[in-house]
Amino acid sequence: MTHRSEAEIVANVHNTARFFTEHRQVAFILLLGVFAWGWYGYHNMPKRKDPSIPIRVAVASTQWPGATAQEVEQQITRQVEQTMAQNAFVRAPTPADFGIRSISFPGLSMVYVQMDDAVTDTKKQFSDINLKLNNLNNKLPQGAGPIQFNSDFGDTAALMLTVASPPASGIEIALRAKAVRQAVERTRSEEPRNAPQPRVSVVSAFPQSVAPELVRESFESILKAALQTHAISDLHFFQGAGFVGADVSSQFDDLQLRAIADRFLADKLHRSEIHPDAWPAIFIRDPQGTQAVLAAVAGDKYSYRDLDDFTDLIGRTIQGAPQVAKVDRKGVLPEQIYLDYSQERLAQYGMKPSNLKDILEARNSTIPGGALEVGSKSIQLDPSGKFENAQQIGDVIIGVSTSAADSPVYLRDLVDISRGYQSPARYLNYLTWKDNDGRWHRSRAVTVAVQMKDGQQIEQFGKSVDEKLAAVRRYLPDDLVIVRTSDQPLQVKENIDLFMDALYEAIFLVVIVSLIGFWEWRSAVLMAISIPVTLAMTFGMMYLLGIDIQQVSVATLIIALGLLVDDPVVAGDSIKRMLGEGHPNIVAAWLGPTKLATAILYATVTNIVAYLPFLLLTGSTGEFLYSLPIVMTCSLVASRFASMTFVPYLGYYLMKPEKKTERPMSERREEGFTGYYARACRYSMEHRWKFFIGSLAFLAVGFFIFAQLNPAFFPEDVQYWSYIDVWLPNDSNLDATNQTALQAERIIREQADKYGQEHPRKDGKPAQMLRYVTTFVGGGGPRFWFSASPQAQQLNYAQVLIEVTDKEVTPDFIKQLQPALTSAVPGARLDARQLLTNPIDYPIEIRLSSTADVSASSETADNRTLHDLASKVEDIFRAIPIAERTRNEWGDPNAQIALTVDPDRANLAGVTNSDVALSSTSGISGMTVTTLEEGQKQIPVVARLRMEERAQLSDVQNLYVYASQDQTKIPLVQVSNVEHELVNGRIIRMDHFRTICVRSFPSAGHLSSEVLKDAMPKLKEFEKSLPPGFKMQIGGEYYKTKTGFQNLAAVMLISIVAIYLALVFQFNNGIKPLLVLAAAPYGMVGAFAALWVMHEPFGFMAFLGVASLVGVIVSHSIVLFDFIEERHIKGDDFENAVIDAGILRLRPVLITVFATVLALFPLALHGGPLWKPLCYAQIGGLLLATLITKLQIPVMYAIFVLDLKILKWETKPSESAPAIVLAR
Amino acid sequence: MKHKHGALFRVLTGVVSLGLSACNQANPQPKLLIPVRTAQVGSIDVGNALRYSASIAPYTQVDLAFKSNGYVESVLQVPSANGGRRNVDQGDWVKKDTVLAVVSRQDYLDKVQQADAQLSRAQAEYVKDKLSFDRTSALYSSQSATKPELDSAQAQLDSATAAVSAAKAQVSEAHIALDYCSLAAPFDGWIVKRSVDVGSLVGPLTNGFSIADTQTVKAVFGVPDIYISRARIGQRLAITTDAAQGEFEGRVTTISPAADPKSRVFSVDVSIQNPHNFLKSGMIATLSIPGKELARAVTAIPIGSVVRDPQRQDGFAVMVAQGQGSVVTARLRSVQLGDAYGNMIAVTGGLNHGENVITTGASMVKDGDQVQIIP
Repeated sequence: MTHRSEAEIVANVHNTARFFTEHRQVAFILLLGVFAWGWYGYHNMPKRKDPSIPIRVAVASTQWPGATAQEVEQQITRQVEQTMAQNAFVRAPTPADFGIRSISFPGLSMVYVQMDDAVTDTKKQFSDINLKLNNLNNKLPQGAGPIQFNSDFGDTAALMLTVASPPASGIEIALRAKAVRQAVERTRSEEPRNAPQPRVSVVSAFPQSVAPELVRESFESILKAALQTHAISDLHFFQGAGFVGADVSSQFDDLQLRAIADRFLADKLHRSEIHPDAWPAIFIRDPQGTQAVLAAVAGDKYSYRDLDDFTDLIGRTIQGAPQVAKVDRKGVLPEQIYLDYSQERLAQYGMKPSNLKDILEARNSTIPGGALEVGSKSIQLDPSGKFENAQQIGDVIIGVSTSAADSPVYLRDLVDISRGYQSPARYLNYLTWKDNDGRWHRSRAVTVAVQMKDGQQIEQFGKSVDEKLAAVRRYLPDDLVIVRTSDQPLQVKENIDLFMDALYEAIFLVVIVSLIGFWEWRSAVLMAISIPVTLAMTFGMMYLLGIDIQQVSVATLIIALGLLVDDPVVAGDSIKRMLGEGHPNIVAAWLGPTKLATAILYATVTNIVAYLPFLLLTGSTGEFLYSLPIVMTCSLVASRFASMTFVPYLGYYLMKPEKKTERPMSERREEGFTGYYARACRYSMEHRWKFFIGSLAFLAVGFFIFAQLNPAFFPEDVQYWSYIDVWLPNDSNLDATNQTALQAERIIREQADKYGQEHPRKDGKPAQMLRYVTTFVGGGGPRFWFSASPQAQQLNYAQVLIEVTDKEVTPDFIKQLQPALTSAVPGARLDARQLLTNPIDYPIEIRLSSTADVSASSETADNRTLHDLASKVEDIFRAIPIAERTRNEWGDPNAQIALTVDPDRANLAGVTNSDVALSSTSGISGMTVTTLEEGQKQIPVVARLRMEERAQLSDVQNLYVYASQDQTKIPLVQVSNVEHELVNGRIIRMDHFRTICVRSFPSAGHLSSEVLKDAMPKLKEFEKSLPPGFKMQIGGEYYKTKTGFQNLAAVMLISIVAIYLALVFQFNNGIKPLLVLAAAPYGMVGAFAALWVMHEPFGFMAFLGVASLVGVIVSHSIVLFDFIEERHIKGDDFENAVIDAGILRLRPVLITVFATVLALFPLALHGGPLWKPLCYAQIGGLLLATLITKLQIPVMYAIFVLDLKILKWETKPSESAPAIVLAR
Repeated sequence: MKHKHGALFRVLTGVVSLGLSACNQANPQPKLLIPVRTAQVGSIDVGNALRYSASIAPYTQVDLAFKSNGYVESVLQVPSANGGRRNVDQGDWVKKDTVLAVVSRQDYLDKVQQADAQLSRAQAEYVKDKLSFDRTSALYSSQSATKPELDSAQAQLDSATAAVSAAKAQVSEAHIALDYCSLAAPFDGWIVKRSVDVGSLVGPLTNGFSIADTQTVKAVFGVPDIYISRARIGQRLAITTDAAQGEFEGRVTTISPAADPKSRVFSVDVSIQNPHNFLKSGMIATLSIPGKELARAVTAIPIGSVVRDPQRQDGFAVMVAQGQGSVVTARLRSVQLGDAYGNMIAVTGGLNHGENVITTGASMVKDGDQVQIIP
């Protein structure tokens, strides 16, 4: 380090500092320019809540109706997997992640592919895969496909609107109650006087738009079934507009009757057959009470069809907003037209179900009829007989009667035509909301997910969607419930506001600290101005670099604040010193910073090299934190730049020479606060070895504390939203799933009430914390959060999305909710999940793969072994008290009843297996015979057996099998045998091998690392006992933590090496940097202690805080060393030089440290669980490191100089007391 | 419990060595009980009935044919809906012996007259021959005629007697032919079909009407070979139809001895009394034949409670909830399964009546787990 004389500098140096001081007009304009630049940058940077982590996952789904999971796996999934693997950019598999993952369900294959992190243009790779998959289509087995490739899987909805129907209005209920009452009274009056008593009328009401036949059929069959068991007697049916009913005599009360009805529904009927728009049945004893009874069960006002129309309009309107990319609707129940036939009746007409298709197809087609020229006009002939409504389908003539004079026979005579919804439904959406009276309703709903185009401002997106929504609201009914069940614009605004508030608070605190520290307003004002200047420059640079505003970038600014103040403090101090030395303002303002330029530069460089290596972090973590090193560098560069430009300029105006001269050094060494320090320092230097050993012991304690910390990779995010995964056994149907979801919703409401009472508001009333509960049954909802991957559509899954009014309660509430759910809902796994900042699907995951399945024939045995191994791993976790909800991903095989076709009998009877399959699917599941085009809707017309003929398992045996060749028809039972078998509900493969994942959760208040610590010995033992060809991997958080920490440790090493190199350059010495770095471990101890005291786990962010501490600590020591060096050059006494340097550095260091520490507090308070560990680590580390460095560095220096003699110290003969009047 | 000690140990060492509180190391909470729903193993009355659809046919249905040739002269007239008279037609009820149609009679009347004339002539001849014989007989007794003359007169008289008989027969025949001109209902029944009208030329074998007796109807259905043993003559069966309310009772009257060669079903007839004529020909009826085990009680469980048996290859098991009150333990029990009845499945071994099996949540508990029964 060279120290030129001041005169030399004044004569020769022409730097920015001098330019800015001397050309103040220019400086002023540039200052304004910088503010404008920063303002512009800030307002034009994309804003989001979290840094964008692209989800590089796409999914290919292929249907193959009728195939078992094993067939699907072998014939489709494997082919799709291999095709996908041809892409060179598929992610390499790791135990916590996948490249290609597949789920083979019976009849459906889903293959997920994940691209490597290096891929920036995922769309290109996905379209490449899509092309390859398209080629595969014609190689699929017959009946399978086509492959549908969804490359939008990773897109997150910026806004989710859930449109729900309010309950039927009071007027409607009153009107219908009147009609029902009259019907009941009429029916009763017509009954004989001696009819058995007591009477009860069972009534099922439904919207008037629904044809009564639809409801009547199921209604009557339940009552007839009840009649047979003598639960009721003396049945009299009645019906009216919008209701069907029956007056019966029964000894049971309402509850018992309902229980009986429920049992029949479960046993005899498919519950899903009941029209979804129908209201639950009511029991009327006294006709006068009809209205009250009806009001209690009143269903929704708008039907699914209405909701479909409403949301379609909303979707199209929102699509018009310029920022909107895609609008998806979820929960629309497709309409269908059913032709319910009785197989006997059809047989009487000599028809097969497949004939219906031929007849209708022939009628329902568009054929050009040619054009006719009439005069000057051309007239199109339209001979097509496309159906326009369901009525017309019934009017189709299917033949002529032989008996009655060739009279036509209409289709409606043969089949019951009804317009309804897809039945059984495959996917439903419900919204639980509260009306103005505080009553909860669960209404059918449709969710509209709106995505934003890339690179758009979310604020503007929110605004234009709001406008569009306000415009469309006028055309929708007033009482239609439209709520935002996920709202990114609001969230971003809130979060950015929160972080910006934290930033403002931090700035304020820093200014206060500097005011108190310097006890002088001028320095404080200089700080107060230079911080905004630096920030403006930083925002400007961020804008140019394309960094967006999100929690990481803003938090980085807050962390950087402590470092930012260092430069202006030093520069301002130096200006003051120059003024004190008698330089005029115009010179002092630039000479001060110039003199310290090199020291400031090195401090800045040290800090930059401490942070910049974080760019090397890989994976989603790296992407998440990408902006941290960049913003840090920007702000440091800006601060360095400001200290050489605007600080001198401002210093010219602000700084005045200190009136009071500093006390001489000798005095400061003896008296006051500095005296204590000097004595402590001297004492420790005298007992340096003892001190050194003591400090080693201190380090040991620190690392013992470290061992006590629980590692946790990334904390859960605290958000308004949380969700519950509801998993039922593989063979569950949608209705069972819906019932379970319903129970879960009830428990959520109960627990929310309980929580509200336990945590009352300030005015003592119970808090109303629950806002909405949105349920998606039969699959996941839209991706409302980047890390919450929606589940594929499957009937045994429901997602319950909870929204609370105060996001701070979410973690507590989830903790309370989970046990309630676990202990109250039977037959399902319910996982209450908080949203994650960094995607980890499951905290504890043990992967068991079968890697040696040589031939497909061994698959059954292979699967069995996998199941057995999985249950052993499950047992390990079940034995751990703090683990809960252990399960494996495949689920147990289900017992199923299989109809196996006897080929001999079938052949004799002249039918083939395919005839059997065709007949049974078309009979039970229905067969699409034609399509009714209505507006833009394509409504399938489905022919299926009447409900009575297919409701029960035993009915299936009576199904007719039609031969495709001739008119033969034989009952299914004649050619098939009933067998029991175990069926795999799903087969999951990870990267080409069957893999079963055992998953578990830590119980509330525990971390997954604690569970794994307990499980590890047994797992190791288990791994040794694995049969050959089977592999165990520990994935989940464990693997992510392990690799994440390794990654970070490597980064930390690089940054330490970089710091060392920077120091070597600065000191021109290889040993001294080691002395500087020696303080770093003590900082770490402080960080560990702080985390331990605050009960924070040692996560990635804490590690990050610890890693970045090094740079901060070192930058504080650099100037101390600089002072010692200065004294060394002057040839002072070693001991005095060291102590004096410490004394001189004491105040500035304390100011910067307190500024940094205080600036971190707002972030720790508002930043949520993500930033807390980092803040505490830094706070603890800085405080302790400052304390230690002040004593440790002199001690270490003394050891190196006096004992080890590695560093030389030649004391010149003392001339006089050093002339340092003011050091910074 | 070992883990508890472990945690405690860690807590203690933490406190001792650091002198700091370690309240984040809370004791593990008691494990939550797994909620399940159970059902008592009971018996269901089943006969694994097989449901069949049958078409209703009249018990007897005959086609009435004319015997006489000729043009139809008149058809029975019945009051028509608009007040007038109309031809009897399908759907009309007729009593026995009602004349439905008449074929033109003139030919037959002529034939009667002809026969009558023939008879008169024969009778005249007879009278003449009788007189001649009487005369010859008197002459012979007075020895005035020879024996051959008497014999000749005798033969002449016999011949005339025969001629009269023949003529009488012819008259009778002509009368019968005349009678066949009117077609009458052989029994009370419904006209199912009318094929002739006034003026139709009919002859023998021309079907004039079809008439059905639906006092009793029969339901005809096909039973496959494997179940034919379940049907027996005289068996009572309940029949329902979509068209008519309520249930009808019938009895199996015939079982075909041979199966239809194509569909391999044996046709079975069930006769049903139909006094009020609710059941009409061609209606589709539903009936079920009880299984072999007539209304036998079968131990059955819901199919959802069956899980994989970890011990046996392709074996089945259920989870039995044992214990009372708050301490209920799930125990794995291997079972043998039988037929499915509705949505229940019969258990042929491994379970006893009165035991509680876990119906909801069975796949989530392991042998020995403590469970909580949700009502």
